[in-house]
Amino acid sequence: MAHARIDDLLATPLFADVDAKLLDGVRKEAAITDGTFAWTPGTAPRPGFVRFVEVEPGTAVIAQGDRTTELFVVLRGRVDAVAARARRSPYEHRGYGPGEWFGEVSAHSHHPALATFRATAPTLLAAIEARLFTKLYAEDDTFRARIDTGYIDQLGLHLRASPLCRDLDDDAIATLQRGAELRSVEENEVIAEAGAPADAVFLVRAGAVACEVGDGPKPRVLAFYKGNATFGEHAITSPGRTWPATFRALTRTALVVIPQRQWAQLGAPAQGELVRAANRLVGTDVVDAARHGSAQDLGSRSLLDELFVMVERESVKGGRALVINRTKCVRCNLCVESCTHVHDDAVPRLSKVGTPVVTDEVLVTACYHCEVPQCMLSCDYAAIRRDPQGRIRFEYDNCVGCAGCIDGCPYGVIRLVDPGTAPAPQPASFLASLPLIGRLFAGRGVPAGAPLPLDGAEKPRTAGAGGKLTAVAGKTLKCDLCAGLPFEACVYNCPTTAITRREPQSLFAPREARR
Amino acid sequence: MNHALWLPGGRRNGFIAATLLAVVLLFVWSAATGEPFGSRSRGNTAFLLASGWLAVACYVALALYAVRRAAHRLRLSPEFRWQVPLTALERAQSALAELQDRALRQQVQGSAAVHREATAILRQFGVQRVLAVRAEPDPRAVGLVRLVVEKRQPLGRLAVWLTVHVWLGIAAALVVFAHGGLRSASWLGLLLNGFSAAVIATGVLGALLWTAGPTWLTRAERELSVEKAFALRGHYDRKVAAAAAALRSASDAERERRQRELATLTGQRDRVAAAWRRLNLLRESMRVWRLVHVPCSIVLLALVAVHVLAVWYY
Repeated sequence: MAHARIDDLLATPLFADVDAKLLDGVRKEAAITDGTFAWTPGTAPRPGFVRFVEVEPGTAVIAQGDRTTELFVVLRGRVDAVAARARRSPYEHRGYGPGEWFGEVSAHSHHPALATFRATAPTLLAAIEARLFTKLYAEDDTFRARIDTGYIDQLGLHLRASPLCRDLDDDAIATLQRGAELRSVEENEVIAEAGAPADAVFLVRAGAVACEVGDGPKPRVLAFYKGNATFGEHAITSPGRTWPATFRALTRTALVVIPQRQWAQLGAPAQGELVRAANRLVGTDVVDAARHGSAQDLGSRSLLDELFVMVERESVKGGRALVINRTKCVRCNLCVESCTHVHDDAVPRLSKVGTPVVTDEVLVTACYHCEVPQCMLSCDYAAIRRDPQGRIRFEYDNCVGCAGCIDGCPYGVIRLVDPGTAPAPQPASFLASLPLIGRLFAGRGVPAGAPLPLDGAEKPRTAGAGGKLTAVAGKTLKCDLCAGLPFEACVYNCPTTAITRREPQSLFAPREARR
Repeated sequence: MNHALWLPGGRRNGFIAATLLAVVLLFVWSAATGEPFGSRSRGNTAFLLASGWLAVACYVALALYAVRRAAHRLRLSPEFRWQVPLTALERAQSALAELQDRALRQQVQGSAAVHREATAILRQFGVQRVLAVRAEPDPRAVGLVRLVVEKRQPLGRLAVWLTVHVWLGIAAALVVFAHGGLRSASWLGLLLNGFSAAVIATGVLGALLWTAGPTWLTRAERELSVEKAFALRGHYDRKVAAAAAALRSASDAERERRQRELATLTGQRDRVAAAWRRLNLLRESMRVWRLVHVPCSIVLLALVAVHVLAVWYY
């Protein structure tokens, strides 16, 4: 039975003309899964990298947003792919019959699934685990060419999930798809050189890209781009510009290149949508801080220089530092309470626990906006970006609460709250506002310092604006500087001016003076 | 010492100076009439009315501090309605960054020109109610202008309100003294004077504690913070309990060693507990005065309302 299935798998067009040694490897993995492989004595058995799955009609093989890493090949039956979209009807991508495959994006980049793949008939699938897939992809040109050709054919699905193209209609996506090219770059290879004409937008298919400015052995890293992230949007917003920084592959990286001529073919409404999306992305992108768009601009004295003066300090990684002067602080906790009140989820972003920097002054645990933001590197959803002020911001449209950034943050300033159990805002009761006795009438707000609710229960599934229907594990939180409001609540409501935003230079001046 | 509590700076200094000048003028007026404070003679009616209304105005202004806190807590403050979309804010900041860049290259020269362009950018993106800009000389080079972008803080920081609250409270105490002269001929007068004294005394005490308390507490906490002392106290409680249990079950040979161990741990626990009590006393001293000040203030405001109505009708 297993032998018949593996033969069926290797007879599919995907494996035609693939190197015989590699095919033997596939057979071996199937045998391991089947339990018929004879392990050398003393070798610890492991699961096989090929398995066969029988699926009933109506069963979802992959749910959109799931972190699957397998390539699926249909041996019998049929699977339909449907992508949920925020504020729009679901996108019915296509059906997959015998001999066709899906899931290569996730297998390639470990990117969350772009659509829900559901069996519409009794179906037999072969699932190839990412490690075997990567070996086949890296070592066999025929296999790689077929996967890449298939990917280009289905690029529309990936484009629809990217923040740049998610609002485009089907015709516009198809136009972009037609002219898109795949490009593979090796580690440290330059993708775009600062000062060269910017005439394309890049979508990162797999791997990671660093955006750097400055010459010398240690260029300044402004941002990172990983799976599903795009860069070069300013070529859309301001045609004729040059690359404002150098983009370099951090590892072997696969990119989708959308050349300028392709979006020039779009109709006026679609172009408008694309420019709007590009503007939105550029508006939060530090790379666009220098409007003139040359490397010299970024390398000269500018906002970025100030940013890097800050980030090169020991503790403050960027932006203005939030500091508590303990000789002024009356320990009333009003800063934390105010932070609670301005956020709809009633969860404070501020924690007064921090690092003493100079005598009696404490750098509180708020985001340091690091020079090399580990949170950004840890995010697989392109949900963290740096804005022109050097601040690190969440793109909540893309955030699914996977908690990757929490693991990545070296300072523990990012927290996760459960969207299902997050407390409601406190009721606007007059009694609750009374001094001292008001807390007796307060609602279900989270008191300062209380542990944040996070349990292992099944989380609601929500469609993000990025089109991902995914298990939302929670919402990541860090200081957002009371975004959009004309005040920073903690500073605004401190009755004794104990908590202030300070220039890092002023913070460290006494220390330098002592040297 | 937290002198910022007493020195608001800016335009508020003028307001406080004007209020205190009004109080001085009131005292001069009283001295000119020759009537003792609180006299109800017909010749003193104008003074009583003027000082009474001034006292009411001071009380209302004092209450505004609490109203501001409560309004913000309930999100009823107008600035919550001025919230702008993040995208508009970021695009404005991007344009301001470009302006800063041009200012550094001296393509835009002079503080006034930079400020004018920055203000235009804020209006263009509709964020003028959220952000404020000022152009100031850049300390890094002669002739360069630096653009400072800040949140507007439309109602002013609470710290400023508190300073005004402190000075108005002092002014109100003097005005009330000039108005009533500590007369307590009626129950209402007695209550008004009593509550006024309680509010003023606790207010002054609170202001002094908030001025000096943080410094005292911070100095005391340099070796051991109140939070650490609290945690250590619990830690030693558990260790002492374990040592006592070990002593009870110890053999004769071990008993002496166990006793020494228990005595050492008990001593350490007592030292930590004493440190925690001292630190906690300092911390609580900055809170406990409000337990009297706030309720007494509410009652006092109610009594003032009754007093005004009574004078109006009778």
